Amino acid sequence: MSKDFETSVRDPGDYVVELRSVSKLYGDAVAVADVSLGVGRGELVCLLGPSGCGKTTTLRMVAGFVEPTSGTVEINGQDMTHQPPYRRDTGMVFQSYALFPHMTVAENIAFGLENLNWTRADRDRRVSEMLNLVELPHLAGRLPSQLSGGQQQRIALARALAMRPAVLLLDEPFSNLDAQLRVRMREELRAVIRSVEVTTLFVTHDQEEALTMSDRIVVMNGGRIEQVGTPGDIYERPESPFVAKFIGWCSMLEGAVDPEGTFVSKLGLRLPGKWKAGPGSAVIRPEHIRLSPDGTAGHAREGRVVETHYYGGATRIILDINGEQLMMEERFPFGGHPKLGEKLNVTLKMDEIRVIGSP
Amino acid sequence: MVPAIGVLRYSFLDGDYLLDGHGFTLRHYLRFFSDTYYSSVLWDTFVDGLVVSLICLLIGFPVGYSLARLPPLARRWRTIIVIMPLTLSLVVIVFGWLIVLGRNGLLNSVLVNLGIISSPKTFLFARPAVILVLVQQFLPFMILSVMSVVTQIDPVLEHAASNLRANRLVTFRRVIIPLATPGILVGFNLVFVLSISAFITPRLIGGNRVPMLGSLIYERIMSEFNWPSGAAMAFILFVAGLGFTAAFNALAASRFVRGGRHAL
Amino acid sequence: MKRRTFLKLATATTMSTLAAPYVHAQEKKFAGITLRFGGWGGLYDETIQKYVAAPLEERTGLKVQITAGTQSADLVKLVANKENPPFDVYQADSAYMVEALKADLIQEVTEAEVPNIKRILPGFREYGEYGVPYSVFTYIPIYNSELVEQPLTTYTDLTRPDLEGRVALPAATFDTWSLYLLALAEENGGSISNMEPAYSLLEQAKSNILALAQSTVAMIQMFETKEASAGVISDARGHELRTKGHPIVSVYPPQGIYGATSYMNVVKNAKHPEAAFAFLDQMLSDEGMLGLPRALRLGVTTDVKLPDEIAKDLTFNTPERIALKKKVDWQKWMADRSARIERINKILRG
Repeated sequence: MSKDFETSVRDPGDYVVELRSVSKLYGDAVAVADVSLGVGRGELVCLLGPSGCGKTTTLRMVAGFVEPTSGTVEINGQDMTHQPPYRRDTGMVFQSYALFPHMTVAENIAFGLENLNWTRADRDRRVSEMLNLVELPHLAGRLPSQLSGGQQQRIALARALAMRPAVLLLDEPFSNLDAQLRVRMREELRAVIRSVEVTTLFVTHDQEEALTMSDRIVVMNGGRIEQVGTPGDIYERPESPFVAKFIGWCSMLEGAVDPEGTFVSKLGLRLPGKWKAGPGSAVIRPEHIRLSPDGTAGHAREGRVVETHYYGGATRIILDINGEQLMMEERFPFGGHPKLGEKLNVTLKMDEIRVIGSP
Repeated sequence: MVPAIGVLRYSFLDGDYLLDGHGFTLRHYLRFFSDTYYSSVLWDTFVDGLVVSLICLLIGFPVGYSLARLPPLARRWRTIIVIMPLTLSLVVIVFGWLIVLGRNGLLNSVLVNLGIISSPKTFLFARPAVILVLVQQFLPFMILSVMSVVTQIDPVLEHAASNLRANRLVTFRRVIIPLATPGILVGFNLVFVLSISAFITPRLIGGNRVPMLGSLIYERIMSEFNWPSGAAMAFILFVAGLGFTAAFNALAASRFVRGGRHAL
Repeated sequence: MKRRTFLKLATATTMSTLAAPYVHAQEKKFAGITLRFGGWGGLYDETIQKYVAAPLEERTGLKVQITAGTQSADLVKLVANKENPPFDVYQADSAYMVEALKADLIQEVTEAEVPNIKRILPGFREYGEYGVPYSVFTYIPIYNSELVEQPLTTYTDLTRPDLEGRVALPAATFDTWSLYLLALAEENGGSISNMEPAYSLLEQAKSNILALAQSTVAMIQMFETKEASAGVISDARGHELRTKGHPIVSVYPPQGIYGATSYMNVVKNAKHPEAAFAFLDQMLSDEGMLGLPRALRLGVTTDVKLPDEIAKDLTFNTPERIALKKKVDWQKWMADRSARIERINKILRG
């Protein structure tokens, strides 16, 4: 799977961060196994996966807080595998922001610059520049404890970017914010990153965050890379059942593709198409199923309503079609919800359905 | 507080024997302040207290810090080891040291065997010996104070500093020390106050050759039975100790906890 | 007076002889009574228990409760509880007798009450009818003959330059033990009213002083560990060090030996004064008097006949030695104690 990426995207000269066969073992426990990854200049790459998948450990190996058991870490073409964090050209925003509680906002931002031996004047200029960038110039003299969560996050970003690092590292930066603020901060953060064109490596367990923010997503599971690709690739063309299930909602049917290219599920649901013959799993996303009231368009099926979940903007329905349970979403304005046991006519968009061949 | 007020009252009694005195007099204070001997002993006592506190800090900070950064279980039994000497009777500790530091003691035989000194030397009954034993006695207080405050410092702040190009020294100086200052001050004050009021160690280890005000007070009260005079000396030590620690804390706060007033 | 005493004694003796079978059949004289005695701890108390308390209990049924303490701590307890004293018998040395009298804590004891008082040697009752002297001890220079080449002969020899850093002296708070200061003064032209010679000598020889011991144990330890090579210690303790195998030599300075006497006193308002008199009488008997010399080689205060093997270890074992015993003006010595303590502290610091 990672081979696709290596052959298609790889251009060694332009990687800001490059991991080569990096592994991390804690005793017998494997945290990260043989991860190879390159992050191109100006690219925003996201490490996505459930907790314990190794994404944070990978990020920490880039930052230098964790030393790999094997493999190498390069930043800007230089081997940094065994260098301490303070010799690495990275800027990190921590999950808890990690602002220094005894320093003002301005002192926090200037801290890295002082260590880089910037002059006083340069530091002051850069601090106000960064405060303007995150639109909080009036908070320069405040202490972190006097800031809201969103403000703290922006200051943490300003502090990390002030040093003009080769790569910005973000560790679950939105997990401490409430749902509404999270969406707003996500947009702001992306706008700031775009405006300064900084190469970014970003860790999250939230697929929505990954899909909206990234140029490329690296899906990790059990310490390994499952798939690397653009958000569209990952969502539309999952290469493994894990990726399909982890990104977005889907129904997955076990079965096989016959020589004619038709997928036949174990319970006998037939999906005509042009897939490659052999055993596999069909990934059917809610939006692949549409109501077809007249029962004529495309590959029409009749399904019985098993469950309904009202989400305001849409209703999620589990339909029983030929014994297989499939999920769909539809809007039923003015309370015209289907009842349990009711029969609905639907069509399946066969050309969008993907069948992942079993290995 | 009540005993302190009692001591204050006794110190003005016009008498020299137990509590036989009556009335009001300042002569016990005059005796102290009109004789440079007492003020110089007070000065020495404070210098000793400072030296003991500083040595405790130098040893206690790294120990307390590394204890705080251990996983809770490993920390627990190591903490018990740190506290253990506090459960020993002071007399046992002092006699132990008398044996270790004696002419036939461990220290002398090690030094002679290593060829550092040619014949046994007298280590006891001198200021360094008193300071050494005081450090041993009061070190746990410093370790525990530092440990309790460092456990409150999020280790991620050290990562943040390191990410912001601060090497270990800069991280220590600009992040850990300022944040640990409350614990350092508590430990420093505890050790200082305990040291300046010590009397058993200076008497036994110092063999009367290392006068500290605590042992003079003990003598005046327990041997001379001059309670009013002893009370006056105790009160002077109390006020001077209080004044000193207050001044020291104000200085340390202004030096290390910048913006601390906003934070607290 | 004498006749009356005699008659009293005769009557008492006759009575007790006549009544003896009856008493034995019925009950002993002090049965059920407990006498409270302020002890000094350790082997000292054990000796008094063995030679004084035990035979007395055997004879009279008197129980003696010995509570280990110090003369200074016990004095404070007595001052604090004058109406209901915690002890019936209080021990004090010559110096503390001054304090006990000043605080009005003890009562007179006469030969009529304690017949054996007549056996006390002349000069040992320093406080008239107050206090029953039962033991005498001296504080003399000692030295370790392996560590000191040239023998010491006087108290002043403790200030010799060759003893630099090796002389152990007692803390100034020990009043009798500090008599070495009076010795230094008197050996060098001073007196109890002119202690300056002692102080200036000490000032010059300050570097000789290893430490001022805060307890007898600490002093003994300094000699056992060879930390000290010379010092001042009681004759009994010097003997103790020798019996433990240390090469300690006791010095009997020809210009005079300084020491003090231990007294037993019946406390004012004592619960059982009669029992206390009996206890004191037993102390002064041959049996009681020989206990402390046997166990601790402390000197005696009566005309008791000492076995030769004990006498040879005592300081006052010949008329010549007894002649060396210096008289001390205890009132004056104790009146000056506060100034003395301060002076010594200053000398050591300066």
